[in-house]
Amino acid sequence: MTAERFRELLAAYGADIARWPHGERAAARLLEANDPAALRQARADEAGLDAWLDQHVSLAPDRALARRIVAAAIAPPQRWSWRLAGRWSAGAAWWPGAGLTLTGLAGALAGAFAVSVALRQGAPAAAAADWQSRGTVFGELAGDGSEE
Amino acid sequence: LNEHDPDAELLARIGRGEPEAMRELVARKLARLVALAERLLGRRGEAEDVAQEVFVRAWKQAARWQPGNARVDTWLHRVALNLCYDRLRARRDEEPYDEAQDAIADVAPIPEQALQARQRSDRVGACLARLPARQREALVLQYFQELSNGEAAALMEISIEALESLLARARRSLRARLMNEEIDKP
Repeated sequence: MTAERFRELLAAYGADIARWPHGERAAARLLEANDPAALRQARADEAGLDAWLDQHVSLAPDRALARRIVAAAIAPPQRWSWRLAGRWSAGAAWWPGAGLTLTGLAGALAGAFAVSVALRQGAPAAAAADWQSRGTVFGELAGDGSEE
Repeated sequence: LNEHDPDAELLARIGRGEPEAMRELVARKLARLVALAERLLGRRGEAEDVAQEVFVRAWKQAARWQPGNARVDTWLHRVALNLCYDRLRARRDEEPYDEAQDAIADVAPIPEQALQARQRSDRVGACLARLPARQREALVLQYFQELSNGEAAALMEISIEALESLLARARRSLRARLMNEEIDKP
């Protein structure tokens, strides 16, 4: 172990010799013991950066996330993102739109039925019998919509 | 690899379809994998998605696991790294990221000490995010994940010498940004 290699290890792995490559730790400690002033000062300087890095925190995941992940992992295979699901259910911006669309569709169907019944009441008997055979209230309308 | 792998038996049980073993693996590794992905991607939400996908793959592939090739922890890191690479590549085409979108929603005031700790953490995170990707990856694997230099180099598919070079450059940049309060050049 040379002082140059000591400084290379310090620059790469930081001040804690326990983090250095296993095979070089003992030699590094011995070298520092023989030249304490310079190398210890260098290590103290590098420890300042380690102290900064140690301030970076990744918050511990909560239990709910762990439960969701286990459920997703052991579930039968289907590509599903809980986060995506959460966004859909939490945002829910599409629910009112879907409700309005369904309401509108129901109204249109009811209106078409009422018009058809009204027309039927004034139609000739033959046409009424023909309607029975066709089996649909829309049977008299031209397929291309030209009669609408 | 002769070293005892503390997770090998657990993965064998997962391979036999034991949900309880899956819960144990998640309890052991979730925080570690989320931290890895969060530091590489800089986004908590994406990090949680990555962690979920890692565990889904672990459940599916555990039965085919070959003990002795690599430690389970290293293999989980490899899967997570690949998922992070995919996301980082996909970012090249996406809209600029609004950090506030992924920030923790805090409306209640927090104590001054906690606020300062968060500010320091955010500052380190911002400096990590500005590192070149390979430097950041080397530092995260070696320093934060505490992998050995051999494991980190193997995961990155580089030599030990190349790893040490990346680490030294990463630390030099961070030192300039964090301790000297100046912007260094890439």
